[in-house]
Amino acid sequence: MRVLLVEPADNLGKVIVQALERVGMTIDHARSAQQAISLADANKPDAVVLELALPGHNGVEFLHEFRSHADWNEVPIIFYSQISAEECGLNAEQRQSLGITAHLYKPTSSLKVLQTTVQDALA
Amino acid sequence: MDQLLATPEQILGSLARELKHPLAYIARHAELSAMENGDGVALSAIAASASDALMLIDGYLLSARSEYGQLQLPLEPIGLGSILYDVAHSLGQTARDQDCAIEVVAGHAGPVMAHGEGLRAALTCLASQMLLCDPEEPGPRIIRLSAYKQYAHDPIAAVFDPALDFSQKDLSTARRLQGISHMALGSRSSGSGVHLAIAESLAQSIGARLSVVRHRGMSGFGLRLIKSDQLQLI
Repeated sequence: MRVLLVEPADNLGKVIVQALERVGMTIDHARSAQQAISLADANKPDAVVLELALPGHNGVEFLHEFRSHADWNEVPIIFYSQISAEECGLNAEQRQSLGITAHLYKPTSSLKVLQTTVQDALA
Repeated sequence: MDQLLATPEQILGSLARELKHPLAYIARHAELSAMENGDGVALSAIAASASDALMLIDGYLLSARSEYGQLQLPLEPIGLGSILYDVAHSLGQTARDQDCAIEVVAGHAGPVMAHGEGLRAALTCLASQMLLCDPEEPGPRIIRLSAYKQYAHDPIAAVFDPALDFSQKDLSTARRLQGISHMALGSRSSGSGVHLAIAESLAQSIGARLSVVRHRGMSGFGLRLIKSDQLQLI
């Protein structure tokens, strides 16, 4: 299974890549929204793990852009973000309509929880 | 001439947010290393320690943003049981590293009016503060998270260590020494008592009051909460 990780922090990104690879996933790591679109174009992901705080871009804007591609409409998206569900400004209904599978708050969500959530989304 | 870019409070807020990045990296890297190397104890202690610091920073940011009007913490009817279990879960690893068990006694406090995240953060700070307190006797410890109601009074969510005794004077001293002492709780606890200060600030933001409370022969830190009549009717 191929996962597109959108994580601007290089060091943390490497840790997340290794954690997801440990459970048998192939990871494309994008550091920015533009890079994420390019990587998704090259290889369609089965799921996206997204940090909402992106340089020069709002993660929610990226989300709308990503969802505007018909091919990627059904791809499950998991927020793994330093921005909490309350702060991100999307209510439960909006999250559901955008196909957000889960919102994990990075400071308190372990890698184990992330692994399980991504596995569940791909099941 | 340009004015200063930011006030000290704004700089402190930015600093707190910035510190979350290296702490998140440390916590997750230690967790990954523990997965890969199977070195459970030391690495999980590092991960738990960084996660605790993240929780403290989150608590501070929540209270500061509420204080400066950047964030509303609307009160809604909530049950205390799930909040207490969340707190116990989030501090579980840190407690185990210190040979301490966290028990939850979700009694008959009834529903309260509070902001869930704010209350969870305040109770996490109080429990963290209790974990920092020095046990008077060596050996395994128990920290008890309780929700209860005494007679017709407001419901209380509290943190106890049955082996420790606190008085209102301890809390008054901690308040007086906050920001000027590295040992605001005197010989009872290492640290500046910042967990207590953040808990109190959060409590104020959600209409609760921090005090030393007594219950079933124990004394500890408690939050007096606003009861919810609305949920009781349901």
